[in-house]
Parts: sequence; structure tokens; C-alpha cells
Amino acid sequence: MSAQTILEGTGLRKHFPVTRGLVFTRVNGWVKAVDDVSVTLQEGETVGLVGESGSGKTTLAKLFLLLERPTAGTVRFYGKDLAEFTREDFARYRQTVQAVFQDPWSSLNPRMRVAHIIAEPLPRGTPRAKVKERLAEVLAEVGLSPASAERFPHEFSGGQRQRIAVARALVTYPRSIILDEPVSALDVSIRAQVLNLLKDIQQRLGLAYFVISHDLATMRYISNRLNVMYAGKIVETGPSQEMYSTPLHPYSQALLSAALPLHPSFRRSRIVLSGEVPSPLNPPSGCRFHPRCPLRMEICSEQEPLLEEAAPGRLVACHVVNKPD
Amino acid sequence: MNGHTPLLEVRDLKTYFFTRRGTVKAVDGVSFSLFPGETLAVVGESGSGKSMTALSLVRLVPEPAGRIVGGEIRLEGQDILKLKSHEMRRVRGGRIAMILQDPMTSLNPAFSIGDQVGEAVREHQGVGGGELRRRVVEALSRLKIPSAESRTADYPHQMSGGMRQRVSGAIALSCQPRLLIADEPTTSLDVTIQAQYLDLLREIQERLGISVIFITHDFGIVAATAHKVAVMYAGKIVEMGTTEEIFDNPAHPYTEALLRCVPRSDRLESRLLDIPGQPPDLANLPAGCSFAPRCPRAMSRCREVYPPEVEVSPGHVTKCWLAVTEE
Repeated sequence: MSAQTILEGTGLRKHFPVTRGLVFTRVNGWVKAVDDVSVTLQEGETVGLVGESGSGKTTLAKLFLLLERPTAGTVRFYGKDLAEFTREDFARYRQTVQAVFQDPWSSLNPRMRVAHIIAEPLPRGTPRAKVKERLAEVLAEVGLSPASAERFPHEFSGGQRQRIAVARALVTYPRSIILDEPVSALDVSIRAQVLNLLKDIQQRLGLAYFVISHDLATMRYISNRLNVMYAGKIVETGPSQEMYSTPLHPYSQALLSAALPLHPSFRRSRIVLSGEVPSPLNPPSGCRFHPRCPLRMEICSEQEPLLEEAAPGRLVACHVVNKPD
Repeated sequence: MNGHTPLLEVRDLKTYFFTRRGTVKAVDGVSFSLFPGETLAVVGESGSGKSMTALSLVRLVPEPAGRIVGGEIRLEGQDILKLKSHEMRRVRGGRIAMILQDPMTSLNPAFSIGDQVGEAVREHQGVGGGELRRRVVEALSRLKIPSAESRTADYPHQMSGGMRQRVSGAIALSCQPRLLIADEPTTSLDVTIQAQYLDLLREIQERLGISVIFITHDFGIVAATAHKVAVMYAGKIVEMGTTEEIFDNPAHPYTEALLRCVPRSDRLESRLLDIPGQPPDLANLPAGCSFAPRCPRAMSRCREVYPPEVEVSPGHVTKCWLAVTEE
């Protein structure tokens, strides 16, 4: 895999204004949903993004799906800045970067037949025979029968609907798919089917995945590199396996230890964090994790830690980990 | 920990739904008992009947489509299915309390937290005024809601999801119940908040000595909280035993598959075991064992006759023909 970078986000910020008043609107403050985040996605790899609700992970995905414009920062697509995109570039971008969402009950239009849903992303003017051929291909790819094409979404179970959503994402020959909580709405026994399917498709087609989830075990199963996000910032990034065996940032440690035990005999002492995820409207000063951090020092409330290399290939934003001594 | 007489005894409980497509046997002959201080986890996927079992225990099955058609539910020796509806209202929220999945919908957005906790206390314990206020604050502090005194005036939208679920917990525990039914109480919570909540519930349970029924689809929650496990599939309990037994020696292929199909965080599999097919249509169950069409070890017998209940080891029962032939 001589990996080429598909997507590269640098210094991305997305701030939403909080306004007051209907006629004389004033801006009262800013919700810093994504605040100086840099991530890359290379051909064929799976990058995971974990975080709790309100950490900004979905907003980050929306930036990559062109559903939101960044307040600051750049997105590069095969090296080309989004700001310099022509109309053709946007068309190519949308075909190359596809999406699968969490809830297959709301992401498929109940009034459209499956054939219509799946073929919708194809460029206008694609010959009908070509559409039919592609439809048959992607249905086979996700393990649905050709007869499914004529049916409506309500005739399918959750797992099958998610397969339809994957087929829709595959129809334009993408190089990457952004998956926002792809299995969390599904039943346990169906999750494994969908995760295995995603892995198989990735191997066959060499796709890159950008997966967002709060489920750590799922992430470990599917991702090569992992980013941990907290209150709009990435606090740790590195190869998944290493991050699971030795998480460095205190938040990553707490997050991993909060995961439920696999066996009743593992009811070990956990790091249970006190407090809650901070409001993005008014994040704590310095390190945003410091009010909940068991290891906090004086500097943590004063100075914001930078994402620095703590071990080869692993970046951590923490004063305790990156102590100069 | 175990008393000699069970707090709750459920015998052959049947809750059916009568629909145009036919009779849906949502709960089909469920039996179990629960001792004081014990935690039972009822595990199953959507449509397995686990939530209907919970609703049947408090007689809140949506009528007229659904009805409890048979069985007994004995709470402290008394069959609550024979109670009149006004008597049942004393039990609900009194001796049996419930925490539901989503505090966003189970709390009323138009009333303050204090009013909602107070309603339960007033209804069941008939106190008012300053005493009521004192009990409300006590109930909220029991769930470790910070500055409970001042938060009584808050409305649900002013609180985070974790705090809202604590308020539901405070309402449930405000009248010293003997049995707490928690239906997926943490699915809407974040991972770190879930850990806080489960720890808190366990601590309260141990202190007050109440029995808990946890309805869940997550074996992680089972491992973290339960003494006993009942695995449900298509309206029936297909396996029941102590948590250790179920994890170490699952006897039913469905339990085994459920345990193995979740990705584990302690090791890396190259591929997950998956259960083929879909959960069955309850209005149109296959003949014989309902899991047979998805079972990797199904025999011809499984497709003909529903398996009897077999005791694989003391206290560990399953309904599977494989367990029968092994004897």
C-alpha cells in the first residue's frame, strides 16, 4: 500500500454562533464544536474517531461531507485545496467521498424504491442500462438479492437497511466512505454481520473508511488509526492497537476503562470520571479535560496543551504526558 | 445475600397481542424467581419480548391490543395479576419501581424536577409541605445529584442526559421499592456517564437491599451488574443461570453466538462470528425451536418439536435439544 492521501484536514475549526433576538439579532457567544483539528485519511486505511456526545465528531464528519463550511482551516482532497475547487472538482469529490449514517430508518426515503435510493447518487444522464448493471453489482456486493431493488425500505429489517445504505454509498465507485455510527442502531446479532460486510468490502475494493463511533470495541475491530476527541479537540491519536494496549492521555485511559467488562470476573476497579462533558459554549480554560482529570496539575488550567509526539507515531495533548523532564 | 423466600415469582407468564396478522406471543410462558437483593438481567434483541416481560410485571401492557392471558406474578407471595386496578396503582411506583430507557421522554418537560419527584412521594406516602420537600431533596441526593436543594426548581431541559436519568432513578427509588425494573437505563448515555450510572445503581442497591431486573441487550452490562441472567428469544427464556455459568458454559447456541458476536476490546479477531438471518417474525414463528433457522447446529428434530427445559447444572437451565441428547 503506497498510500496516497485522499483527505487532509488541517487546523479545522467550526464555530457556531449563539444568537439572541429575532429582529435585532446579536451574537452572544460561539459554540466551538470543532476547534483546531487536523486529520488525514489515506487510501485503503480505516481511521476511527471516538468521543462522547458533544465532542464534535459528527460536526467534523459534516465538514468532510461538505455539509458545513469550516470557520477556519483547510480541507485538501488529493492535495488540492477545497477553496480552489471548480464545479467538476466538487462533483468528483462527492463521488469519491461517500457516507453511511447511523440510523437506516431515517436515512432512507420511505417513498422511494430501493433501486431509486441506490441509484440516486449516480450522475444525471447515466444510460439506463448502465444504471441497471451497476445496481445489480452493488446489490450483490452487499449481499442483497436482485429482487430487493423493486421493494421499499419498510420491507427490510435494520441490518438489511444498513446494507442498502452501504450499497448507495458504493454506487459511485468511491475511494472512501465516512461512516457515522454505522452499527449502533442495530441489534447485537446484526452488528457483527454489518461489520464483517464492511471489512469484506474494504478488502475487495481497497476503500478507505473514516469511522465515527462511541463504541470502543467496535473501533478496535475495524480501525487502523484512532483519534480520541474531547470537547472539540483531538486529545490523542495513534495506531489503534497501541492505543488500546497503552492509552496515554488520561481521558483515553478513562474512556477505555469505562468500557463494560467482558466477563463478570473482570469487574475491576475502573477509573470512573466525575462530572460531565463540558459545554462547548463555555469550555474550561487551559486543557479542556482538566476539571475531570485525575492527574491535573496547576499548569493544566492555565495553558492549553499542544498535540505533541509522546511516542513514535503517537500524538498526545497533555501536560502530564508531555512533561519536559 | 439471598433470603429464603423469593421476593418475586413469575410462573408461566403469557402476554399476547391480538393483531390482524394473527396472535403475537410476545411473552410466551416465562417463569423465573428473584430473591431479595438479587439482580437479574433479562437479555435479548429487539422483539425478543424482554420489554414486554417488564411491562407485564407492572401490568402496563398496551391494551386492548395486548393482554396478559395467563400465568402468575407473585410479589411477596401475593399474585398481583389478581389485584384490582386501584390496588395495582399502589404497587406501581410503590413496591415495584421502574426506570425507562430514555429520560427525555419519561420525564415531563412541563414540570420541574421537584414536582415530578414530589408527585410520586405524595401519591404513595401521603406527605406534604415541608416533609415532602425534605423527602424530595433526600431522593435527589440519594442519586448524588449535586446541589439537590437548588435543582428541584429546574426543568428537565436544563439538565444533561446523565442527570436526567438520575432524576428518573430518584423518582423510582423515592418510595423505597422492593423491586426495581430498569429497562435499558443507560443506552442513551455516553460511555463514561454509563459507567458512573451503573456504579451508582449498584451501590444504592447494595445499601438498600432491593432486587433489580435489568432489561438489556448488552452483555457488558450483564457482566458488570447481574447475579443471574435470563436470555430471551422469540418470547421465551431459552437459557437461565448465574452470570458466571452463562459466560463460562453457555448451553444454548443462541447465547453462545450472542457472547461471541460482539467485538472484544481485549483481543483482536480478524473476523467476527455472525449470526446469520434475522430475528423471527413473532406472528409467524417456525415450527419447533424458533432459533433453529439461524442455528448452526440445528438438527431435524429442532425443526419439528419445541425443546423441553433441561437442567444442565444446578440452577442452570436451557431449552435446547442439544442439551437433551447430551444426557
